[in-house]
Amino acid sequence: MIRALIIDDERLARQEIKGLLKNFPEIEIVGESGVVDEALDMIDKLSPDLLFLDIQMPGKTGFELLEELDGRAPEVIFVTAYDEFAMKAFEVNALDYLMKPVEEDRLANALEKIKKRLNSRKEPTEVASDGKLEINDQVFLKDGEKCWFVELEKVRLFESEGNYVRVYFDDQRPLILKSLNALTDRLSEKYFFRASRKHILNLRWINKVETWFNGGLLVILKDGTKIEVSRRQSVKLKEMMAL
Amino acid sequence: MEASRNYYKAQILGWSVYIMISTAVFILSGTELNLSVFGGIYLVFALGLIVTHLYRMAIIQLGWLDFDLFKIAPRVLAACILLAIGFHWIYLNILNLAFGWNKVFLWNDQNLFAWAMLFFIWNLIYFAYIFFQRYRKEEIKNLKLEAARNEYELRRLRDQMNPHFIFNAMNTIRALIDEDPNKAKGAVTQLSNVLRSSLQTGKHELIPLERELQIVKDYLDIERMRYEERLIVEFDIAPETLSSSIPPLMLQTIVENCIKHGIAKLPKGGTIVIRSLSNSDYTEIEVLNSGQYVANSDSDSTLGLENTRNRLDLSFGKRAWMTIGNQDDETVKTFIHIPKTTTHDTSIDH
Repeated sequence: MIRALIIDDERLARQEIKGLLKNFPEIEIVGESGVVDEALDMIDKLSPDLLFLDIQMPGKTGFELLEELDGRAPEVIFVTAYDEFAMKAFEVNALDYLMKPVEEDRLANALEKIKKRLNSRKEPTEVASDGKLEINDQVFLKDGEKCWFVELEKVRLFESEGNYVRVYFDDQRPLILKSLNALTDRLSEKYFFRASRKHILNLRWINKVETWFNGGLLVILKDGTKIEVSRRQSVKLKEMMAL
Repeated sequence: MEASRNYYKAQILGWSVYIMISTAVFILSGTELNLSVFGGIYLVFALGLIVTHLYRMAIIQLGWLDFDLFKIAPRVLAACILLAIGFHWIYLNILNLAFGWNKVFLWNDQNLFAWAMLFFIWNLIYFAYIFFQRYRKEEIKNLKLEAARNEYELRRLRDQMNPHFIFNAMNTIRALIDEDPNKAKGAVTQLSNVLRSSLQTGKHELIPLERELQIVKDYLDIERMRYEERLIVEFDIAPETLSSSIPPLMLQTIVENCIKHGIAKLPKGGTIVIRSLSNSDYTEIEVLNSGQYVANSDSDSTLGLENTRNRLDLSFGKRAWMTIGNQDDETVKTFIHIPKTTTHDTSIDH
């Protein structure tokens, strides 16, 4: 069962998607919303697997909604009538989208893709009780016109740059408007370690740890990046590594 | 630049051909090739180059290049004769000086005729090139003009069609087919009306306000189905204004912008009020919508405003104007002042 949430400011547009989804019994509609802020609450409470998301909505756009997500990002199928700007973004970033009025075949195709992705995603070994982001969760990142859905597993490093944080994954390094402190609170401590005031690193990406000046440590990641660990955090890291 | 380079090439080449032909003629006719014969040939070559080059400067100075064929032909004929006479006179004098001859200028000298023919051929080639270039330039200009016109037409059509509106309307209608089939039927008719009007009325310079209001009503009815309780529409139209002439789809464009920049951005929606007032010699139309006007918020709508102003200007000149601004913290007011004109209604459908 895929639990879906429909977000569109027009009631009839939501109605239309609900009507189309009647032919897909594996989709359970857990809710609908026409207001972005309300939708954010619903995503928090219901943690749906899939969003049907309109782009142009009063107040905030669909992209802005995704940027404001606190928890993991669900799978998303964008639904829009005609918006050259958004269409370009979909194409450039290989996002799933449907055009209104929605063709049933295309909907079926999009759902098929989503199903595959949901199945291949490894289930968390244990359910996160604290609601923090686990290693298998995906997040939505947006930097200018570019956007990504990234599994945290792939993220090696978060680096603070003023009011922004640079996120390192694959060969990308987008800049997002977030504070490192806020991220520390959201990321599971089992996988992510606050190395210093500047860095959060993914423990699974550590290749080597060397001793550094003044009892500090130097972590070398699998891609060769060297990160200094502050003295206080070094003690903590040693404890963690020593079990 | 390229034309000028071609000119020099042609000059050298042309006069070289003259040397070759003359030499060949002398050889074939068995004339003894002495210094004076070669001197004569090369003198023609050098003199020809100089004279025709000066002649070309004169052509350019006199502006012959812009003349049409009928103006050029007599001038060229006259020029050929004059050039031949002048050329012959200089030619004789130089030869006399060089070889100690004593030849006199004779009007029946057959050389005079030969020079005239030579200059005529020169002119033929020169002006053929000029006319060919001119034709090509014209051709390119026409093609460019046509491309610009096509692009404008395409843009006009696309702007008129407003794809965002159409596809949203289609989607709304799809949903209504299940929910309220009768309403769906009405919506199809209204959408057809809007599409037909935008295709047809664009051709007219002016249409009566009554007809424009019908388009606006159909359009707003469809948008009301989409936005439901979030869009409230009020009309307050003075009956005397119904026959006033306005540029087609002008009010429609304004109302579309009210939706796009006003209602669509407000989570709770808002109201659009369309009001018309009449006076003995002008009509005033006022459109109020919820929202706030931000100048230059995006270039697209600035362009739209500019376009509306241009159309008013084209139809009425300084006697019509349009203003847009914030009436208060939550209302935008668009105001149009149009002189009353008695136009026959050419736009009624039969």
